[in-house]
Amino acid sequence: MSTFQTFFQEKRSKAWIFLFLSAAGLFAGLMAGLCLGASPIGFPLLIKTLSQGDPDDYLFRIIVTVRFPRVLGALLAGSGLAVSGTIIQSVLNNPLASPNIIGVNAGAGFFVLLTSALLPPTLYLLPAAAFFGAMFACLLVLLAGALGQMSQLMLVLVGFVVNSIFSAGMNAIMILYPDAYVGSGNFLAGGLSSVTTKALACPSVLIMLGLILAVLSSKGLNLLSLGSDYARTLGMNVPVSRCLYLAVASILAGAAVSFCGLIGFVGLLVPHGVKLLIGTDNRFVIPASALTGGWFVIICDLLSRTMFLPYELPVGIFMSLIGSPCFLYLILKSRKNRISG
Amino acid sequence: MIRFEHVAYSYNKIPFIEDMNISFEMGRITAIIGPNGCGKSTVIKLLARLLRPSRGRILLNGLDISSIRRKLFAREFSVLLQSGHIPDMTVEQAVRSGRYPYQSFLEPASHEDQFMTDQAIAMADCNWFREKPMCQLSGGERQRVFLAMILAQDTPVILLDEPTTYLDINVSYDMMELIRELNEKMGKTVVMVLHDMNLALNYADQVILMDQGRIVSFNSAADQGLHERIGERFGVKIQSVSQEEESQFYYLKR
Repeated sequence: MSTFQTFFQEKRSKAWIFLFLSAAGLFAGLMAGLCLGASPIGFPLLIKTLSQGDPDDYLFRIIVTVRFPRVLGALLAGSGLAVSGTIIQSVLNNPLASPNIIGVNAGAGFFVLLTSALLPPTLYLLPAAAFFGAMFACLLVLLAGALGQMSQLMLVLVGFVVNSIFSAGMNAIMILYPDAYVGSGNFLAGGLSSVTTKALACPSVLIMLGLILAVLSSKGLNLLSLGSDYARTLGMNVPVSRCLYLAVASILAGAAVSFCGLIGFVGLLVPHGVKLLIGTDNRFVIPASALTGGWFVIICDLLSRTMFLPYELPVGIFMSLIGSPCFLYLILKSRKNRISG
Repeated sequence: MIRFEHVAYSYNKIPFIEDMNISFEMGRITAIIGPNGCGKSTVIKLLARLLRPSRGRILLNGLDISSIRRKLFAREFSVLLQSGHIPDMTVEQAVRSGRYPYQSFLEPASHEDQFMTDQAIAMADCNWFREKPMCQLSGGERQRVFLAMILAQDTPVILLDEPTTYLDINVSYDMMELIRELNEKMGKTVVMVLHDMNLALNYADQVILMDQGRIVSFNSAADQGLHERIGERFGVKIQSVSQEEESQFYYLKR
């Protein structure tokens, strides 16, 4: 058999091929995101406009000030939330855990709204508040799980409780301080329509940092999937590692929530989809989730702003519409061999 | 030499182990037996550092095991646990994680890691399902995968907590034969908790009988006094069966 054939038969090669394809998909998504919209631009025109770089050209202004931040925001939010979901699933050893289900996004969102209601607007404060809220929610769930020796299903229920508390908090802030957050209606549903390049500066640095840390954590995350006892007998400091990994997940989810609000389901769907296709080795799943999450949100955002022209749906709503049935499917499918209630 | 010095363990003020003093010589197979709840699994967990003694200390060649760094400890002791958790990974991935103590941060798996992984998979007879995910295996197959994992860990001391729980009788004997082979050919020290006394008597060099957190008897497996004490505790009697000049012991209902 030729080496070429064996290359395609090995699981690892499948993972490399998948990585390559999702990188290509991401590039295609980026281009589509820049070209399409209320006034579509052809690809050659896009290249021409960008290469000329004429600030008075209205097409150039649309691309640079409207579409570019939007596409970049979708990419960052998708990658951040998908990888955050991958990490949380491994750390809690729970296929149903993801930042939106166990209240990590809600925690981040609550602190973002609280900060913008009570403190003067600063661009760097919001990501910090979001990280703090995300970490707080993570630790609550982890602590409850550790104290109660919980089964996987119970852990999800605890997460659901945390989620409800923070969601209630967010609604309370919205009613008490209606002007707290510009476009707060969009915030709860998760949207990218009011994203500016300036607001993306700090989150993009954080998400890049988080993605690098996530790749570095992948070996340890694999070990945690064995269960905490085996991870300990193989020489890992389990409590410290768990907290560090959750901190990375919180940086990613928090940074994403700080500018796009509560986009759900990408953190659950993407890791699952990727694992179905290339297996569960986190050394591949994490980069693959980052790429896939990126193009998935770019495409969803593109659809949500072009399908109902001249109106547009917040991408969060659009994704929940697709995501909820998929989640239901996953629950039904995994009931047999994964979740012991 | 592994030594327990006045080791006690209690949880929520309930004592599980009381003042245990015992030495395990290297290169021997020791079985721990006793009725349910006698603290035999606790001994394994204390040795594996999954639990900390409430009092006393455990020494490995004179060094308190709680002072050994995590990864170095994981190169000395490997443990087969009774765990219901099914890892979300393939057989080969699970076995390869046995090499974790030898890898530094970020370093890719070495040729030696791959060699040890392959060897462990072959020894535990997992080759034909090495690509499968763990959730598709039977309980017995999973147990063999975890055995392969600790073989890949390649430690001088192997701890086993009821290794034959999920296994059919023929597979249990296969596993015991493998453990004997590891002991004889590679000089591994084995400490195992067994529920099946017939396996314990026929495969261990020495047997520890425990009851209510204390050691009742610590003797060679062929010792007459040990057999009598086991008989008293469980209401059974021993029968010696000679087969090809080798005598085996079996317990029968009295």
